[in-house]
Amino acid sequence: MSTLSVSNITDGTDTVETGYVVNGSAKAFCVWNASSGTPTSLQSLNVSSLTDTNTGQCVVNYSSSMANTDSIISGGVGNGGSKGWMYDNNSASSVRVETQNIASTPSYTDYDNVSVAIHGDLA
Amino acid sequence: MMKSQQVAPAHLWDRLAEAKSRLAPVQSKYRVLFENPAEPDAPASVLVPDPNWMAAALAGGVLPPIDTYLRDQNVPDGQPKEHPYAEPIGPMTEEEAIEYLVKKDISPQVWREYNGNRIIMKIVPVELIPSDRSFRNAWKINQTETEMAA
Repeated sequence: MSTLSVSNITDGTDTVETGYVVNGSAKAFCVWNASSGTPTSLQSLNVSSLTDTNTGQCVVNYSSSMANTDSIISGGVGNGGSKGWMYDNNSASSVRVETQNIASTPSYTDYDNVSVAIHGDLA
Repeated sequence: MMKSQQVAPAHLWDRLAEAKSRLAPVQSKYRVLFENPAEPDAPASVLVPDPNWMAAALAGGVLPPIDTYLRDQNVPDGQPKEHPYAEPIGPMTEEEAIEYLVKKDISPQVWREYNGNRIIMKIVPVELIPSDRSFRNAWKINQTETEMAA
């Protein structure tokens, strides 16, 4: 693998330090379909596995751990409707994502387009 | 005489990103069913290997030795970890890759420390997992057959 080592990147008008680009990119992400059988990963980076622990609950395991538990965790569940997305039990090496139907009484539900992205410092 | 200089491997994250751009994802034909003995009332969990990770495992030259992850479990957050810069290992078979994932992503309570009589972990072909998620929160590992009870 070759490495391009530069301090700044420019488009001819604007210049930005490469540190902003490297540190600002998502360190892990995953989109999966949990609506039938077991979860199927549709896209991912830096994910070693998904652990389906229950209805509407999935643990995303990272390949390369984060430095600590203070990562920024964002995501959602797609395709409209009254859907809730939460995360829980995040550690430096994994995060549990939960999805619920929040139309009336919230209940854990499996959906077909669940996503999560993790920003922060790598170990 | 010139001495060859040892070059540290790239960070694991860089290797994974490079591998993702080069390798086609591989959907594993296996799943790992397990129950956590610390939560006897919880349903069985199902571990699904990530297709990009599996491609990197089969290709070799990307993932660190599993021992580095196990040692890093004892390293406090914020302290330097061993696995990101460990020398990558060679290609694995799919079966070896699944065993690696069991050690990496499942608690040692399940795969190393459990001494009970129940079967609490099985590696099964994906066809043996119910495709219907009805009663998902009641799934348990069947103790007598190779299939999983739903």
